[in-house]
Amino acid sequence: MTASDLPAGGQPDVSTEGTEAPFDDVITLSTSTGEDGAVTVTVVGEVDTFTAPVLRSSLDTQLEQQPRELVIDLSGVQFLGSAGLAVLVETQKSARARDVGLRLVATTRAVTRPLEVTGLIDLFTIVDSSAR
Amino acid sequence: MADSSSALAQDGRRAERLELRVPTTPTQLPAVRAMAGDLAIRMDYDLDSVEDLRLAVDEACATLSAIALGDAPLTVVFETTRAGLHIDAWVPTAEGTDVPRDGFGWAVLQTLADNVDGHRATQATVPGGDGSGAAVAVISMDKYLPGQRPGELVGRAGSGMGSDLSVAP
Repeated sequence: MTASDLPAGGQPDVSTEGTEAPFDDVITLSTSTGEDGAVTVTVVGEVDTFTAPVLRSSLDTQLEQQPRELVIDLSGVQFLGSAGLAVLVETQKSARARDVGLRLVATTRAVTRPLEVTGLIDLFTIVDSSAR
Repeated sequence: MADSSSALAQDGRRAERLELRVPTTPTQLPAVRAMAGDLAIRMDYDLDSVEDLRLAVDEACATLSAIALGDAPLTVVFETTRAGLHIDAWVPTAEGTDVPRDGFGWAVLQTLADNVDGHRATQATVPGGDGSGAAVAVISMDKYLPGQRPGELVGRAGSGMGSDLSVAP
């Protein structure tokens, strides 16, 4: 409810202004909306215990807009630690609760390995590119 | 199996130690991960194991950062031997602080490394400590190289073997 006055997708949603400067180098988020209403959040950088909350809040914001589908593009992610995995699992849960489809774009070992090692990969729909 | 008499550093390559000491700030953990990944790549680890090591080191460091006393630094000691990599990571803590071992992160750590242990110790017993009785929390782990046999520790940091190399932040 608190985010209902936020702008709809389709514009840069990096909203990291509130955080300290070092985060800018570690993670970059951008959001785009496709013609079909699917929202893609593109993550570039490293998702660790310090940057995971930034990702979490961006994904929550998008889910609150109730898009048709949410795509998390992780192909530019060079590190995905357990805090990042937890964000993905939480996002999967809330996407289900809202009846929003969720897909992960995972192409690199830095992303697929932690998902495999933890067995979490089975929870997600994994695709090679954000194109349909 | 074969006799297990070999202390790891006595045959072939010497053990080498690399010690990192960094503040527990958001920008420093990427540096520690990068060091772990770089070491692993230069040893004979396969690419999945390199990733596992980056993840394991990150997990250990993040866990310890959360219980460090004030702005005390994090110390990570990498010891490379013929069998693999032994890592000790520690932070000063308040007296009686335990390493949390009940979360998702600890479970992940256990799947990533071949041996993992978290416990309380003192500055006198950890590699790079100041020798005092002040409390610290330590996470130690081993990761074997392909073809090496789990079952004994990869190495024991602080055993005085090999050359020491320090990198200050």
